[in-house]
Amino acid sequence: MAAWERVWIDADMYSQDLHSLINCTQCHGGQAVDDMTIAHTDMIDRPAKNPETCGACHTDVTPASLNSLHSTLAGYDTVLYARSVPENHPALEEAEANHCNSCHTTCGDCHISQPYSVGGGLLDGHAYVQTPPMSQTCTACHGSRVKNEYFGLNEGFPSDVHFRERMSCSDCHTADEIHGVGITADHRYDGEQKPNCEDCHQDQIGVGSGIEQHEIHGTEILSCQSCHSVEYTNCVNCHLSKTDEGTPYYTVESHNMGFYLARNALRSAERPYRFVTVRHVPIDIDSFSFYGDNLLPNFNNLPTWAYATPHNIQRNTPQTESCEACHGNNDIFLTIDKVAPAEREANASIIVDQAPPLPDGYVPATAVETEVPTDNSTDFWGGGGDTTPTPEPPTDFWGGGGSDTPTPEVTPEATPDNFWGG
Amino acid sequence: MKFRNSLFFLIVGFVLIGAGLLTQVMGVAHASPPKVQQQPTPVVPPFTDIACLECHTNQEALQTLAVEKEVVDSHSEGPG
Repeated sequence: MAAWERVWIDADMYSQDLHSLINCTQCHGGQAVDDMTIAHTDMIDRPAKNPETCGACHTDVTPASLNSLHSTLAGYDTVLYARSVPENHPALEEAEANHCNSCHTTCGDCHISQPYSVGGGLLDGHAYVQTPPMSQTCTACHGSRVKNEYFGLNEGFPSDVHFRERMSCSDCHTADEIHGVGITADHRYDGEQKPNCEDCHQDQIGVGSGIEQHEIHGTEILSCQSCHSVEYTNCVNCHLSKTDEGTPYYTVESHNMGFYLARNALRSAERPYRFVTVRHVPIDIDSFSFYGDNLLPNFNNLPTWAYATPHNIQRNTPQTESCEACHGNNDIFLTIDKVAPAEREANASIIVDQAPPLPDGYVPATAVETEVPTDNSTDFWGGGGDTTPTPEPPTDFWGGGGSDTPTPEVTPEATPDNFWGG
Repeated sequence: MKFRNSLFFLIVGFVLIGAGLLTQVMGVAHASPPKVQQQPTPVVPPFTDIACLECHTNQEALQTLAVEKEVVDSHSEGPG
């Protein structure tokens, strides 16, 4: 956005906005005079930073919004303080002030301009925008993970099925959720799931849905993302520092694409799943060492592989291809070999010993069709007594009769009907 | 006898209807409607900041006057 565009008021648009009845100087300060220098003296470029500016009229939403995670960034404190001790909090707060706090959002950062942290600039000629545009606001901040996943910008991985259906962030994330209305949460996954897949897909969830895999797995074994998301970005070891001139910067040691299921560290009534997708967060025991020694003495209190809800949902994924895609497949589970030795204690509660085996008596589908009666599904899925003799599984994984031909790789074809979820 | 009974019931009926109507009227008259919390009406002074708008709605003027932000090279590496 060019410099002039950032501050250009669209007379046609703005004149339709009720806010145009308010004098500019009432919110922005400065003086309404022709001399530019005098006019801009003591001008407030982001008046919404002052809660009174919007809160004087919008009493229904402003107080909640001021306490929302978007405004307080309390999620950072929660995960850092859990790994630290109170005497280290001032040093951590200094680090947050230098490196994190520019992400604070005000009302104006979404409804009037692009967020300050991504350069600002009026969205719609200063007219109030009821539903902030996704690309200029939401994904302008939530870029490196959510945006890339949702838009399909990670090379080789598809966009989210909801994006392909032209859904924007606010179609799932309601205004109340974003403003924190009725929510007292100290981190993103605290309390009720918002949004909840079930809000739209109520007929497709769990037992009674008529969807075979949902019938089998119910609603308490796997989060929806466990089966319906694909690989996502994992970041490793972020370190903070400052240049000689005092400019703060960070360095993420590495990042890579991966998909891992682990035990659910946040298991609760709201999130009862045994297995969930986990993302490596860029924390390291020395992430804040620029600001002091040993600032995270309780580093092992939280996993470094964190509960995640990747934004690249597909109807069909490699996990939905077959039972064997997950059962017995250690590749997609966070087994100990995938966790850095220095982080194993922190992740002990979520590391999976090995992938869940196939149920007793399981026979690959091809064999079932030819050798097993079709009415034994209850026993087959471990739901009852095993009175039916189970035929020997074929010698070959794919039911090919044990030929010497090498087993084909389990690579789904990239066609709209399978991997890409068309 | 029949006529006297009918007259009696007619009078009783009128009395009951009258009492009902009276109760309604009195009830409404004495009922206190729920108090609606009046939001203070914001007082918006007349718009006088014409000078601000004259400049900020003038694309040509802004293109001349607006200064590009100094781009500071970021030393950060990796996804933010």
